[in-house]
Amino acid sequence: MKRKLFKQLLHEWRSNLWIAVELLVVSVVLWYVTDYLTVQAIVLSKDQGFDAENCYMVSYSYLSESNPMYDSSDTTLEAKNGHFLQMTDRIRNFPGVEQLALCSHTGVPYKQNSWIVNLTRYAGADTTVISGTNIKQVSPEYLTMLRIKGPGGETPEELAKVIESGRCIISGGIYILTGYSQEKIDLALEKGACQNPSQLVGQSFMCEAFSTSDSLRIGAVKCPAKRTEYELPSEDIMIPLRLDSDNFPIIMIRVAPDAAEGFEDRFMAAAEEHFRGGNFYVTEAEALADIKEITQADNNEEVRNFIVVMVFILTSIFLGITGTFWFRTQQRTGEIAIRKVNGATPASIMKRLLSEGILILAIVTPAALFFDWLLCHYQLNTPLHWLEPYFSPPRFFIAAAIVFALLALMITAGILFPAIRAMRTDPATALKDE
Amino acid sequence: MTIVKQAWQELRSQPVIGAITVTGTALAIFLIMVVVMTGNIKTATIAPESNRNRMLHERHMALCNLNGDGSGSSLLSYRMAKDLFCDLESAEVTTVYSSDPWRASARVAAQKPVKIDMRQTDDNYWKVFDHTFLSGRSYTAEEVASHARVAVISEDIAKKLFGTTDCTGREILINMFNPVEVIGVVRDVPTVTNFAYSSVWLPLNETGMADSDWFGGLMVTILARDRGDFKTIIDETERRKEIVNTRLKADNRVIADHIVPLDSEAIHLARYSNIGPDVKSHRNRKLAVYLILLIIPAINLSSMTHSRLRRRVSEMGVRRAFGCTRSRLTATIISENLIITLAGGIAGFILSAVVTWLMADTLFVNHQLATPDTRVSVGMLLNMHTFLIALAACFVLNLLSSGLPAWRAARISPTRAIGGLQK
Repeated sequence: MKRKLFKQLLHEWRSNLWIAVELLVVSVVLWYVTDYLTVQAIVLSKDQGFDAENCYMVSYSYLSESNPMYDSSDTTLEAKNGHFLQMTDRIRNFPGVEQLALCSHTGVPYKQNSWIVNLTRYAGADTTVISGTNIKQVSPEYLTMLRIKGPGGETPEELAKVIESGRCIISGGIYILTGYSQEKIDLALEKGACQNPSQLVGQSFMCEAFSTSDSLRIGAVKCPAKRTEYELPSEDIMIPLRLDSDNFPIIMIRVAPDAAEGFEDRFMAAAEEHFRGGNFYVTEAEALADIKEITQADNNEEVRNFIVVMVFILTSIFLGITGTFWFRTQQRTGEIAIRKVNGATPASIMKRLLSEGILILAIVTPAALFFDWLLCHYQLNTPLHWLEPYFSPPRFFIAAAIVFALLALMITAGILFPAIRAMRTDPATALKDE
Repeated sequence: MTIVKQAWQELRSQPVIGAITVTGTALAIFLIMVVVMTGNIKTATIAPESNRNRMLHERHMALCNLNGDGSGSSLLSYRMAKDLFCDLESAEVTTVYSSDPWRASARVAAQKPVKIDMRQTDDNYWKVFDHTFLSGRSYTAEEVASHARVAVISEDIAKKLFGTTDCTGREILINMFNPVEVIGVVRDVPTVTNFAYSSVWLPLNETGMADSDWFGGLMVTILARDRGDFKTIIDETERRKEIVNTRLKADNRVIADHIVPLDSEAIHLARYSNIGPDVKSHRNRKLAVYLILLIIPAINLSSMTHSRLRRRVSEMGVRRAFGCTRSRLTATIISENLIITLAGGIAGFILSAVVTWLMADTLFVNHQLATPDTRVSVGMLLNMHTFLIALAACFVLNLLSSGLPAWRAARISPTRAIGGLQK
């Protein structure tokens, strides 16, 4: 049976070559798309590191001096701070608001704002470096509002107390180096020689980019957080927020789940009357879920485009296989009729046709795998992270298996229609001329 | 005409294969055209950005430290915009305006506020972009200089606030507490013309901006007298850059090389302020997508053309025996196939325009804006450019799918072909 199948394949090598070439091209393109989608799925499956459901960023503005309502007594920083806190108190007391937190612009989830710093601590010949970490100034409620936890099961409330006490919280990126230079940090990064951050609790670090005089004391460790759902978790350091300059912080609130529906409209309807503090006034409440949509629009579009290309390719394969096998069964009407006369069942005819298609796919697959590997070798596919290898055996074979299964499915679907027609061939009609 | 008849008969004699061929072609042209149309809408002539082919834009500013130990980048400040790009001798006019509209609210006293997108611009903005005024006028240079509390609003906002577009002279409150007088109402702007888009425009108030000498939230659009002047304009801005650099060098800084006015294609690729757009790799990626979308269906269709021709082998033999040359036979087969490809191509082209139009609010949505309505019309999608690309795609697809089978079919010896020995 198998020898006959091979012989038949060889006999029709011309049309089979077309199918084989098409399957080869399609398999490689599909592998690239599947590999990309696998990477995205892995990244999306990682924990976000916080919970922003029903949370909003509240935007505010400050009346200009030319405005008729401008409060001219609002001149000192103390007065401004007082008015700012008056406004935040009023927001906090609005029905439905569960919590209010303040942070620097780097602390707003999904905004992708970063202030990357290095923290250093010299101890003899060794230097401990907390490298490439995003510094966020936060109020204690920030931890509880976004439900940020520690890797050792520390609760958001416990972490909030650390900030309240004036200490900092880190999430990783620790390198102990002999001497200190950017080259050494880069080398350590490449080697992935990151140390356990919990050993640094209780130690003090200098962060020259932030302050040349005050040191930062580590009080706890938190889980790394993602900036967007399409990025892997990255390192950050949270330090206590201080209202000591004209750069007023970002306001965020968490709303009770039963008050979430229509909250924005209710909140803004009350803004004019209730949320003013001196010259400060609220301009907008924007759901963090909406900010996520804005930030991730490009990623979502890219994933959508890849899926469209995938569907297009699979449809093309389906059409190609259907067309080719339609001809084939037309040409083989006589042969199929003779086989039926000799006792072949409709199922065996169907099996024969399906085997032809799957066999071509099986023959083409090793060549396709070679081209897939070339894509990895020349670093043309998608890595999980810039430090991760382009060729990762589990990912490579998972994507290859998915591609094989999808193509086998399309081949089966494509052959099914012509095969059913072949099964229904009436031997008497097909052979009447003989 | 004979060719059309023959192609039609061919389709009728093999309805399933005919349907598959036309569907395959339509699918390929459909996807290619969706990609083309979604890209083309960013550069095509669409009012109020009717002069896109004469526009150069810059929205970023990047500075490098002279000793190479760092750099900083963001959006343009008012001073940098003025010093580098305004009042250029080689250009017709330059406008300075907020890089992105920001969301705000507007209301008439004691009424419910409506969500708006707000943009600050100078007076030249109304010379560079051709908004249609339904009533009133735009603001003048004097009004911009004196920070006049006036506004131009869109038709949609005018109707929401006043129920009519005839509302010049009326007062609205921006963000609850800031009164401005409406001096003009313009026809709604499609969000895909993103530099001209907003729903409320206010005079640029450079003193009220929290920007430094270098960085702010602004961008510029330079309108050239002719597209051919782009190089002269860029040369002039480079000379301006040198003058500004002499000032910056005192602070140990210079402007980065990639701060150069960009045309309508490149500006959409300039997503990051610290690096310039990579137009070449964008074009290569686009080419790769077109190739994939053409080659896969071409192999498919080629296989089917080959099978179809096998059934007509005796006909080829007879034609060859009666003196038809190989090149003539090849040309006839390719032309016949072109009719089928064009049929599929037209279907795909129409389908792509309809689907792109129906899905416009999903395909072109800008989540940053208050309005989800993109106001894309079929007219914006169908123009000579997209039509010519669709036609070219059909020719290429036809040549790829019928060239090789036609060449092979024409080489069959007449005696063998008439005898049914096609190999």
